[in-house]
Amino acid sequence: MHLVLRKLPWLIGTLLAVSFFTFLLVSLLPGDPAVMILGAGGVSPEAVAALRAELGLDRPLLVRYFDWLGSALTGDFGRSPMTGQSVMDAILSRLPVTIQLGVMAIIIALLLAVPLAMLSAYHAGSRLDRVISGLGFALMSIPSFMMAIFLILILAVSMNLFPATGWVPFSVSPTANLRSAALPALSLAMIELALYMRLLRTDLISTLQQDYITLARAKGVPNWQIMLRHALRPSSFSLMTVVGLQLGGVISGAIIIEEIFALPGVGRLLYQSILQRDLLMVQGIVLFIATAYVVVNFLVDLSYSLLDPRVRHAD
Amino acid sequence: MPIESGNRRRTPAEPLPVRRKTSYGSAGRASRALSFSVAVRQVFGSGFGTGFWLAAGWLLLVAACALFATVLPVRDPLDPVIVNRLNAPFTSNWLGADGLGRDMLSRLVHGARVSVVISLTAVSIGMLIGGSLGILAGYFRGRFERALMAVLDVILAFPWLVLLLALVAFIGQSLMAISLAIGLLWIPAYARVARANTLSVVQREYVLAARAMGASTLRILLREVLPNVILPVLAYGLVAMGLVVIVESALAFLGLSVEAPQPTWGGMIAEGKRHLAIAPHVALVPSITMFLTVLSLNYVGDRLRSRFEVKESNL
Amino acid sequence: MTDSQHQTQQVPLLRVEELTVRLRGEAGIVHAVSDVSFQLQRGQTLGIVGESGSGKSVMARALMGLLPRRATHLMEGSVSLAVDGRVLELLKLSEREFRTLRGPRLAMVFQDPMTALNPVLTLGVQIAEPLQLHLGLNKAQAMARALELLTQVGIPDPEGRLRQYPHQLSGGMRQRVVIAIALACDPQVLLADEPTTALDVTVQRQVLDLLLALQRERQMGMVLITHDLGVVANRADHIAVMYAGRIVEYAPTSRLFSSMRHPYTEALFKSVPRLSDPSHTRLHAIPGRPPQLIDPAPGCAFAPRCPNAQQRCRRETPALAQIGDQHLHACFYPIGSKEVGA
Repeated sequence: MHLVLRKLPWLIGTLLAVSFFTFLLVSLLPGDPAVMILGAGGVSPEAVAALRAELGLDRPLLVRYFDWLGSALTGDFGRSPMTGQSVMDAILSRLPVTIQLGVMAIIIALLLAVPLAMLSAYHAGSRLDRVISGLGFALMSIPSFMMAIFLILILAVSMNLFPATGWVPFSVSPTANLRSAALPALSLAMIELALYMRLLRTDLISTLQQDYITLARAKGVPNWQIMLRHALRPSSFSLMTVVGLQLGGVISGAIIIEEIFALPGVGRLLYQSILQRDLLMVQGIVLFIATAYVVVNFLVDLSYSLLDPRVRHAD
Repeated sequence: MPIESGNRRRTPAEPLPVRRKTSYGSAGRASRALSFSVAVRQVFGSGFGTGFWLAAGWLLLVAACALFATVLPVRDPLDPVIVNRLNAPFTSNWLGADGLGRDMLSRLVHGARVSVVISLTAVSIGMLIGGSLGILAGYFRGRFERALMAVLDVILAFPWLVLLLALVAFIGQSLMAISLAIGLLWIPAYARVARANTLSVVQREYVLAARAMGASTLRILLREVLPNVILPVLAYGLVAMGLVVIVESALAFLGLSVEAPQPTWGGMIAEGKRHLAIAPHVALVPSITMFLTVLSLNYVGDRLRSRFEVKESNL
Repeated sequence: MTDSQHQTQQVPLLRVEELTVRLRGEAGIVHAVSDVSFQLQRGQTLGIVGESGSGKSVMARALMGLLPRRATHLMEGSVSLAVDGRVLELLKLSEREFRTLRGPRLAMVFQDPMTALNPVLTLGVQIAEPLQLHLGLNKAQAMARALELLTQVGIPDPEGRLRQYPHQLSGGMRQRVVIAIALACDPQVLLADEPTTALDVTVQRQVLDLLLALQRERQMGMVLITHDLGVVANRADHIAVMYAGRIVEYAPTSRLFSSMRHPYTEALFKSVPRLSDPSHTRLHAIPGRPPQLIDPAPGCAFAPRCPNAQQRCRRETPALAQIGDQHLHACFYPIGSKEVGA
C-alpha cells in the first residue's frame, strides 16, 4: 500500500503529460475539422467560421485543452461530428473485441513461450535448443500482417478450419466467437511469442547457473521440479515487465490485424477515424489507449511484489 | 511489434525500493535485442560463419537493386500487361505478375529503393538526434537527464503505430516525410542506447583522468565519450533498420506509406492479399523478400553487435 | 557383513579411488581433478586444503554428481559409498538413482549463503522440500521437522523464520539455514565446500563449531574443504593438501603439522597469519601463480614455484608415495630429505 501511495504522484503526472501530448498531437494535425465536416468546396467562409465557433475551435489551445480534459475526466470525450455518436460509447462498444484479441494473443504467446523457453534453456546449446531459437528468430522477422495473410491462406483458404474474416460476438455463440478470434489472435501472438521465448530463455539460463539451483539439485529435487518451482519464478521478472510494455505493441498490431480480419475493434475504429479526420474520435481513442497503457504498466510494477519478496519487504 | 514501447524505464523520480537485478528494467527493446543476440549466438556459433556472409550478400544484393533499379535490365514496374495478369512465377515473368499484369521482379527491385532509403534515413535521424540527446543526458545527468527520460516515458506510452499515423498525417506521405516520421519514432530508443553507453564510459578511469586534468567538456565528449559510444550505437543501427523495414511495410500495408504508383514491398503484400485464393504468389513473393531482408539485417547487425559487446544490461 | 568386527570397521563410508575429472572450458579441456584417492570413515572429518582453483570444489561437486553432463569431458576412477551394508559405485549411477542419494546419503553445504538460497521461496519451504521428497512427509510434518532443524542449528525465533525469505536474514543466519537444509534428511556424508569463506570473521568460528558439533552428534563423515589450513587445524582428523587437481600430501592432522614434507604444504602453512606471531611479522606469500589447468605441462605442477625444485621435477610427475603410517606425499625432494641439502 505504501508503494501505491509513493508512486501515485508519478502516475498522475504521467497521465497529465500523456493527455496534453494527445491533445497537442491531434490539434496539430492538418486539415480544419470544420471544413472536413461541411465538405470541401462551395461552402461559405461564414458557415465555416460559425461551425468553428460552435465546435469551440476559435478559442486558445490551452483553454480548449482544459475544457476537453475536464470533460474527459467525467468520461465524456464528446460526440463525433461525423457520426454524431458519443466517442465514449463508440470506444466502449468496440473495446471488448480488442481486449479479447489482446488477451487471447498474450495468453497464446505465453502458453507456447513458457514451455518452449524452459525446454530450450534446460537443453541450452543442444540441437533442440538451436531449432527452437532459430524458430523464434525467424518469427521475429515476420510482421504480424504478413503472419495474418499466411494464416488466412493456410488455415482459412486452404484447410478451411477458421473463417477468414468477420467477428461473432461471444454472446451470440461462444464457439463461433472463439473460431472467429482464433486467427487474428494467433497472428498477433506469434511475434510476441518469439519475444517472450527469447527473453525467458536468456533469464532461465542465467538463473540455472545460480547456486540455489545447484543447492536444489543437491537436495535431490527432480529436474522438472527444479525448472518449475525453483527456476521459473525468479526468471520471470523481465518477462512480466515486457508483457506489460508490449501492450503498446499489441495495440499497434491490433490496428492492422483488426483491419485485415474486419473486426469491429478499437484499433479499426482508430484507423478509420484517422482516415476520416474524425479528430475528436481520434483524440478520445488515443487518450484512452495511452491511459490504459500507463495504468497497466503501473499495475505491473506493483505486482512485482507478488513475485519477488525482496520488493515486497522493502517498504 | 517494431516500435513497441520497449525501452520505458523507471524515471529517477520513481525510486526503486530495492536494487533489482539489472535484467528487470532492461525490458522491451533491450531484452529483445539481447535475446536476438543470444539466439543468434546459439544458432550460428562464434565467428563470422557462412550464415553471416550469406546474409551480408543478400543485403548487398538488395542495396544494389535499390541503387541501380533504373538501369537494371528489368521491365517497367508500372507497365500493366493485362494478358500476364496474375501469371505464376517462371511463366511470362520470372517472379510472376500482379493483379494488373505488372512484373513482380521489377516491382520488387524498385520497391527495394523505398525500403533502403527509408531505413537508412530513418535510422540516421534517430541516431543523430536520439544519440546526441542520450550522450548529453548520460554525461550531464541531473535535471536534464530526468526531464528527457520523463518525456521519453510519455512518448513511449503511445502505441507506435498511433504515433506514426499521427506523424504521417501531419508531415505527409513523400519518401522523405515517411523517413522523417519513422526516424522521429526512433529517437527514444537511440537516446536510451546512447545514454546507457555514455553512463558506463563516463565512469571509466580515462575519462575521470581527463576530467581531473582539466580537459574541457567538449573535448571530453568528442575525444573520450563519442568514440566509445558510437560503435555500439552504429552496431545497433542494422537491427534498427530491420525494424524500420517492418514499420514501413506496415504503413504501406495500410496504404499510408509512399503514395502510389511507387511500388513498395508492404504495398505489394497488401495488393497480394486480394488475390490470395487464386494467386498466392502475389503476396508470397514480396513477403519472402522482406522476410529474408529483415532476417539478414537482424542477423548481420547482431553479429556485429556481439563483436562490440554492447552492454545490454545497462540499457 | 559376514566378516569379523575388524573387517566391518575397515569398510570405509566413502572411498574415492583415482578420481579424475576433466571439464570443457571456454579455452580448452580443464584438468580439474587428477588421480585423487582418499577414504572417509563414519564419524570422521577429512580436511581438504588448497588454493582457489586447485580443484577442490569440482571434486566436491563430482562426488555429489552435480557436475553438468554437458560440461564434463571425462570422469574416471571410482567413488564408492557404503549404504546399508551395500557398496554403491556412484560414478555408475544414473541421474535418477543418484538423485535419491542426494539428501538422505550425501549432502552439501555451499560456500556463499547469500546466493545459495532461493530468493522467492520461504525458508520453511526450502527446508521442508527434501523432507517431503525423500522421507515422504506431508507438508505439516515437514514443517514441524524444519522447525526442529532450525532450532538445532541455533537460529533464534525459528517459528517466525519459517515464513521469512532469505533476504531477511544475515549471512551467518543464512549459512545456518543452508546447514539445516543439508542435514534435513540425516545424510551419512556431508561435504562442506568453504562453508565459512563468505562469512564475517566473527561468525566463521561459530558456524564451524556448529558444523563440527552436528557432525559428532550425528556421527557423519564430513569432508571440510577450505583454502585455510587454520580452519582444519584442530577440526579435521586427516588433512589432504590439494594442488593443481592432485593430492600432494595426505596425513593425520597432528602428523601433518608436526612433520609436513611437501614444500607446498609448508608454503601454505607459512602463509597463515598467527596471533602468536609478534606484530609486523612478514607474511609469507607463495611466489608465482597457481598453475593453469588447461594442457598442464609435464612434471610437478608446483615446480615453478617450489624452492626445492630440481631438473627432475620439471620432467616427471611425482606419484603419491606412502612414507609412514597413513602419511603420503608426492614430492621427489621433500622437506627434510638429504638430497635437498646435497
